[in-house]
Amino acid sequence: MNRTLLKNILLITIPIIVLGIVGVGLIGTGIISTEPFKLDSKTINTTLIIDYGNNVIDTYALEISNATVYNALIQASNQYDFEVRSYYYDNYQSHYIYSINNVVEGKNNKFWQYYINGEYGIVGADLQVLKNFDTIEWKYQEPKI
Amino acid sequence: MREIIKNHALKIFTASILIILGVVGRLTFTKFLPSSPSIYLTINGMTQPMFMMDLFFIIAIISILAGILLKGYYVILVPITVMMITDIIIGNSFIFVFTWSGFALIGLIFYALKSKNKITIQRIPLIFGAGIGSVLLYDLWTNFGCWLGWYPNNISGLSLCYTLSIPFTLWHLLSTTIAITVIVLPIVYLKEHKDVKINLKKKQIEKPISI
Repeated sequence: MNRTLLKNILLITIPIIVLGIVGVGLIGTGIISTEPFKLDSKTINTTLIIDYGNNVIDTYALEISNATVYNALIQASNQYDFEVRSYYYDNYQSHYIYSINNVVEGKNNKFWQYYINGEYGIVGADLQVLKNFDTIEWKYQEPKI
Repeated sequence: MREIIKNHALKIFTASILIILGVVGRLTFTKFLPSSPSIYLTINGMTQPMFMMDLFFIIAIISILAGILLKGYYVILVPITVMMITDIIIGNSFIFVFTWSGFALIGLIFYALKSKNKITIQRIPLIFGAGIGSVLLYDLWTNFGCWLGWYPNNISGLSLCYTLSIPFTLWHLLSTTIAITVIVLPIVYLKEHKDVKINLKKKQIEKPISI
């Protein structure tokens, strides 16, 4: 076999094999999985705060199971009858909230962003799991990220 | 003189085609992006989809082709023009400094390799290696920009920024590798074989003289 061809085959197959072994290792340790996260089916208590950015702040106490930041907002909107509008991004597997209670993003460069226990939300609202007594704040403000 | 004008015309024509493809691709391909598969990555207690899909690979391939097919200023002019036109339409923030220069860097890497005659079909692993290296450099550079602008400017902010960027980097690596296989390798092959044909034609002309 031509030496260059053999060298090329090795240079392509060896990284693929190494990648395969690393992948199996990551699956074995649970770093890579097919489950997004384990949602807790038991009911927890959370507080949802909506800050409209004009000194109007609504606070809701929720009892929720399978709790994520997104689920909590949707449950509050159904329970307390206010409107939430969002886009679902398939390629990010997450909802993007663009309007709460008819306050639509974009005015004065303000957008809806969430905080959990005072910390800025860094993953999609669907991907952030809640624990008992967590406080979620949705703030209408200029982009943080 | 005629030769110089002809050369420039060819470069301008190739650059224009690449710019049009890049602009149209970036503006229209969003709806063709596949859904993120149900595979998840959990790092530092944060679970994210393993791949976050975007259209990075379109501009990356345009930059690579600019490096392979063009010379001089055209190599950086093509990706920067594509980004400039599309950013004006889509919108962007200060991060454009990093994204535009990142794509120019990809073009320059491939131009440097071509200048050393290393972009040949006999060196496929090198083409893939350069593609993967370029993607990693681009992501390191642009995420550094994200950290400077949007994250706490300390080590934990930097670590958070790079951790959150992993699904994007994985998609960039996967999509660019596929695009290199489907687009760049056939073009490199055709370019090589076009040169061979030209050489053969020259030989055929010389033959009767040597007899």
